[in-house]
Amino acid sequence: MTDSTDWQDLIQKHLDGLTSEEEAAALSDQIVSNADIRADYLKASRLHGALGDETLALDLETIPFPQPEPKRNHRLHSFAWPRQLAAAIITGIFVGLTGLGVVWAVNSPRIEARFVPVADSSFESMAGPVPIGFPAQFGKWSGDPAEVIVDADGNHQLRFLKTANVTGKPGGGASACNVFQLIDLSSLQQQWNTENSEEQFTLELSAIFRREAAPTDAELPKSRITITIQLYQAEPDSIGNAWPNVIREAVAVSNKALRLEPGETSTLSASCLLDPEANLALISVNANSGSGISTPVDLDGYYVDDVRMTAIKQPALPVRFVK
Amino acid sequence: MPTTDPNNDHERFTRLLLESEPVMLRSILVSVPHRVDAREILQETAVALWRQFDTYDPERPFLNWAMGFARIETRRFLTRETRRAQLSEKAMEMLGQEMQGSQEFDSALEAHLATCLGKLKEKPRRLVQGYYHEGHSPETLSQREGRTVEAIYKTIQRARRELQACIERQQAKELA
Repeated sequence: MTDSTDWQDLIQKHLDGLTSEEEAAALSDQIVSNADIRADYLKASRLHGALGDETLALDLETIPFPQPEPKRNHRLHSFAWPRQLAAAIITGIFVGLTGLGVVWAVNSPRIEARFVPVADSSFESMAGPVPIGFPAQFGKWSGDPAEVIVDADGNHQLRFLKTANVTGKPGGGASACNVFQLIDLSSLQQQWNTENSEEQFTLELSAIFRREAAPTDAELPKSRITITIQLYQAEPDSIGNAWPNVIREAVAVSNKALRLEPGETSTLSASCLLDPEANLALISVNANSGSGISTPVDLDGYYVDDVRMTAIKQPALPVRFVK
Repeated sequence: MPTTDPNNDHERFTRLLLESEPVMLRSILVSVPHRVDAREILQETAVALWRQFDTYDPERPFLNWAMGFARIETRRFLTRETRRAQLSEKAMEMLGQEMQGSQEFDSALEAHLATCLGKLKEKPRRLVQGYYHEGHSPETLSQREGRTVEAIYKTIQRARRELQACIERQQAKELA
């Protein structure tokens, strides 16, 4: 091996088990003697590990297989609202977060948190089937086949019924049952003046998931639940029109997944930085069959309740937000 | 093996193992990057942990205790592994020591992986999805995509480099 060896390339080859004895020995020498290569190897191998970790992996099941490179979504950009205009319009038609939100201090007077309203966050005003299809406006739950049920205590919960492909496009994956809601962030961005602030803003989404024993359990050994938050600068109806390729246009994406055993309940949360460019959040809760198959399957035993979103403002440095 | 209350022990063990498994696997993958090999080590580690579970002190973090077993099983695996070239013991030892200091990158990885995956172009993203998330081999992906196995590897490797660069950029932005 020579000085001109591309060590990055060799690291990548080694991660796939493709290095020869000689190459592995040369890479080992570099790892021992060169701190930069050592750090690079560690980062590359941690990423390699994380990509295979289903609790971190992005749920991309709705991307059709295979298809040509999609055209750029011009509509999204041509209709992306200037923030000032959006703020003016939204102020007129949307109830301000100050009125609906609750503000409190967390540990330090310089850290502030507030609820961001999620419509029907506990599903209490809903009953029966959830509308099918992608939401085109703020504050409505819709998505794949799901229903709101009322338990013996009168508590409303969302029940995931069946995996599907929300776009209805042929060839798309159908490994998850997704239920979405679009949330307007303009008011929050304006109130906290995120564009001109030196503080750091974070959005955290959480929900309580429950799994009950169901007849289909044996067919779903790899099933899991996922919570996702995606931020966009876009009109609300443009997201559904360009789904799922629009994910590439997201300002930020964060998700968390977890396997639940029948009888288990767990709160799952995902958080991401609130970029000043984002005017809306697309949130989703889902139950995923984990099979990667494209034909719908019944889920039966998965429920979700109490979907909450919290915005947190804190000094950017030297304090870092630790969940 | 624990004997006082087998059912209770088994449930507690399963829960602790499930909680620690992702972190253990990701640590094993640093020394043994091949995922099938790493899973085999994890499996052997789980068996060893269960056999010794009665010596586990619940006052101590389970993960720290389990990682000791994972290191032993990794060494054991490497002494008998001949299919793939491995890093030297010295290199693995140094990586193991520095893994403790890589928590900042791990946090950035956790925070930004999904965002960066979303920024990948469609073809590499599809291959990353197939390779990691769906567990397909490069040979299977090669047939599915109508490309050579080498081209599949190259695309996945390039995608990983792009992802790493993206995560580092996001990390730098946070710290700026």
